[in-house]
Amino acid sequence: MLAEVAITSLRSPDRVPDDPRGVCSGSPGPLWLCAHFPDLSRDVLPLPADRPAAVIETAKGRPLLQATNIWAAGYGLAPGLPLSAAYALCPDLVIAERDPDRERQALERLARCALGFTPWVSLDLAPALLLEVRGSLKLFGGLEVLTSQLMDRLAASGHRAVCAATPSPYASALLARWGREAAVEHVEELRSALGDLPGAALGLDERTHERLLKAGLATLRDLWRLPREGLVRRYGTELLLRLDRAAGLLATPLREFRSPPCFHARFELSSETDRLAYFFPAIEQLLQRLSDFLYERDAGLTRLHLALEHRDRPPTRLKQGSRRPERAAAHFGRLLRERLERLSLPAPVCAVAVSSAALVPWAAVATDLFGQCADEAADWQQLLDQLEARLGPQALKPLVLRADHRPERACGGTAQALAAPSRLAPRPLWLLARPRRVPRGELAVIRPQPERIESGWWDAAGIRRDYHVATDRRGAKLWIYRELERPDRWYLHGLFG
Amino acid sequence: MNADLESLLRTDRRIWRGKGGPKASFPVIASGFAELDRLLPGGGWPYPALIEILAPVWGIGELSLLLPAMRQLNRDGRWLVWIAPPFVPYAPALAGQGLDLRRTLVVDIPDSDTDRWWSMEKLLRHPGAGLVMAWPQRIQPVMLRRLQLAAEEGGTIGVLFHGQHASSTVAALRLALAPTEGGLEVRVLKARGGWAGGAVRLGFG
Repeated sequence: MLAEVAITSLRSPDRVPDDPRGVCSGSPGPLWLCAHFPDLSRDVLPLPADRPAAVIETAKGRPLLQATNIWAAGYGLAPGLPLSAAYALCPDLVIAERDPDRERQALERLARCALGFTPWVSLDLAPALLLEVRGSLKLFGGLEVLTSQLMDRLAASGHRAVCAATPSPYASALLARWGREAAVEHVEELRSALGDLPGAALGLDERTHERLLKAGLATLRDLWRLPREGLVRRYGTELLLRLDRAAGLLATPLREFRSPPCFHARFELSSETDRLAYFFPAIEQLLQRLSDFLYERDAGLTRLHLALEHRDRPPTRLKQGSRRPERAAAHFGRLLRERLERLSLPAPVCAVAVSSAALVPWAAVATDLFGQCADEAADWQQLLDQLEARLGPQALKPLVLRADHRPERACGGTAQALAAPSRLAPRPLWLLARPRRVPRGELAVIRPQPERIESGWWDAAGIRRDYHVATDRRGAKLWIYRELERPDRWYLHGLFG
Repeated sequence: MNADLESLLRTDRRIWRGKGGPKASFPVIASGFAELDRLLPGGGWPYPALIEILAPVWGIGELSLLLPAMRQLNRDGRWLVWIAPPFVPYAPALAGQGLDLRRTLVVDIPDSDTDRWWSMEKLLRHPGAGLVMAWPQRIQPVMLRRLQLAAEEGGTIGVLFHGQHASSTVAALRLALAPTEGGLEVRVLKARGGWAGGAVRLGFG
C-alpha cells in the first residue's frame, strides 16, 4: 500500500521547464543566453599584467599565439601568430602554455555562479556558458536586468563576459563569440540578427572557409541567399547543419547539461518506531541539511518529497508544496509536522528520506503590488501554506467572479481574471450552494416585481426563473425563485445577510 | 483631584469609572453607521478585538452591518477571512459592495471544531489579516480568551456569529441583532469601556 498525500498549491506553478532543449511551438520557447569569456585562457594563467604576455597553443606541430594581453597587442602580436614570429617582434614576451584543465575548472566555477540565475546551465560550447533564462526573466525583471546582473556577478569572479541571448543556443554562442551583445526574442528574427557575421564565425575547417571566401560568400546572409541543395553539394552537409542551427531551424543538441542541483538525503533510524516524537528529529536534521544546501546555492524550494520507509512494505511518501520559494528548515518542518501529526502510518518507520523536487532561484525581496512590506506578504503566504497543510488542499478558496447571468455560475472556479460586477438588481450576500425548496406558508411577504433570469439554453444547465425578494416569519430577508414551468414551487437561493 | 489619583485613574485598567469618567480612548474603526458609532464606546468597532454577534437567524443583515468596516480594512490591504461560513459568500454581491475579492479568502472546514478554532487563532494572530469571521456551533469560554489574545497580538478583528446567549464573555463587544421592518435592531449586551443596554435601529435599503 502506498499512502500518498499530495498537496498542490493554488498559485505556485513550477518554474522549471521540463525540457528546455526542445523548441516548442505556441508558448514562448526557451531563451538561451550565452556568456562568452574571450579572455578565459589568459585569465586562468599567472601572466604578468604589466608586460607583454601571451598564451601559446600547439597547432599542427608548431606553437601559435592563442591569446595576448594589451601590452603584447601593442607590439602587433595577435592570436594565430607563430611563436617564432612573435619573438621576432617582441623579444621579451612572457609566454605560458594554454592549460585546458584550469580553463575547465574556471568555467565550472563560473557555471556555479550562473546557477543562481537559472538551473539550466551548459558548458558545451566552451569557453562559454549557456543559460536557459526564459523561466527566470520574470523573476529578474527582464532580460536586460538579468544580463547585467549576470555580467556583474561573473565580473566579480574575475572574468569578462560577452553576453548574447537568442532562442537558439548555437546562434547565441556565435553572436557572443563575435563580440555582439545582442538580444533576439523570436526565432524568425535570428537570420537578420546573424546576417552580418562573417562565414568564419561558423568555425568550419580552413579549406571550406577559404573556398567560401573565394566564391564571394563573406557573410552568413550571403550563404542564406543560396539554394540549400547547391550548398550541400559544394561544401558538404556540415555547413548546412550549422546554418540551420544558427537560424534556429534545427535544435542544437547540448549533451553536457549541468542538471539542476538536486538534494537527496536519507537517515536510517537506530530502531523502528511509529512515534512522531522519535522520528521527527531525524526529519528536522535532514531539513536543516536541505536548508544549508539551498543557502549555498542561493536557491529556494517550492516542493519537497518526504519518504518514510518501512520494513517489508513500500514507503509512505508525502509531497509538500509551498506557495512561494522557501529555504528555511523551520518552515518546511512546521508544514510537515502538521501533516504527519494527522497521518496514520501503516507500519513503523525504519528510515526517513528528504529530497528536493522543484528548485528555483531565490528571490530575496519580492515587491508587493500594494506597497506593503514584502516580508509581511511572504509571511501571509507561509500562513496559508500552514493552513493548507493541516486542512487539506481543498480548504482554501478564493472568491472568484465569472461573467454569467445564472446566479450559481457567477462565482466559483479558480480563474484569476475578475469580471466586473454587473449592476443588476440587488444580489444577496449569502448564496445557498444548492437551492432549497421552501413551503409557501413560510414566506410572510413577497415583494412583487420579479427579476426574470433566463439563460444558459446553450448548455445543459439552462434556467428560466423569476426571482423575488421575500421575508420569512423570523424576519430573514430571502432571495427566492420559482421556475416558469412550475410556478407553484418556491425555492430559496440566497439570504440578504 | 490630586495628580497621583488622576494618573492612577488613567493608567490602572482595573479601576472602572461610571458615566462621569473620561471618554474611553482606545483605537476603533468606524462602523459606517453614525447611530451605531454614537452608541459604541470610542465611536466604532473596537480594534483590535474579538466581537460576538448574536442573531436568531442568518439573513437579517448581519453581514451588511460589517460591510463598511470590511471595505475599510480591504482598502488598507488587509485580508477578509471567512472561516466555515454557513452559506456561500456570494462573490458578485460582495464585489458589488466594493470589497476586494483578491484579498478575501474562504476557509472551508467541513466538520471539525478544533480545526476551526485553530485556523481562526492562527489567522487572527497574523497582522496581514484584517477581519476574521467564524460561525461556531458551540462557544467555549477558553477559546474566546485565546481568540481575544490572538486578535490583540495580531492587531486584527475577530467576529464570532452565533445564536447562543451565554452568560459571560471575554470578548470586547457583544451585540444582539434582531430583524425589524426594513432594517436591523442592534443591542449592546457588553462593551468594553462603556455601557451595555443601549440599542439602535439601523435601516438597510
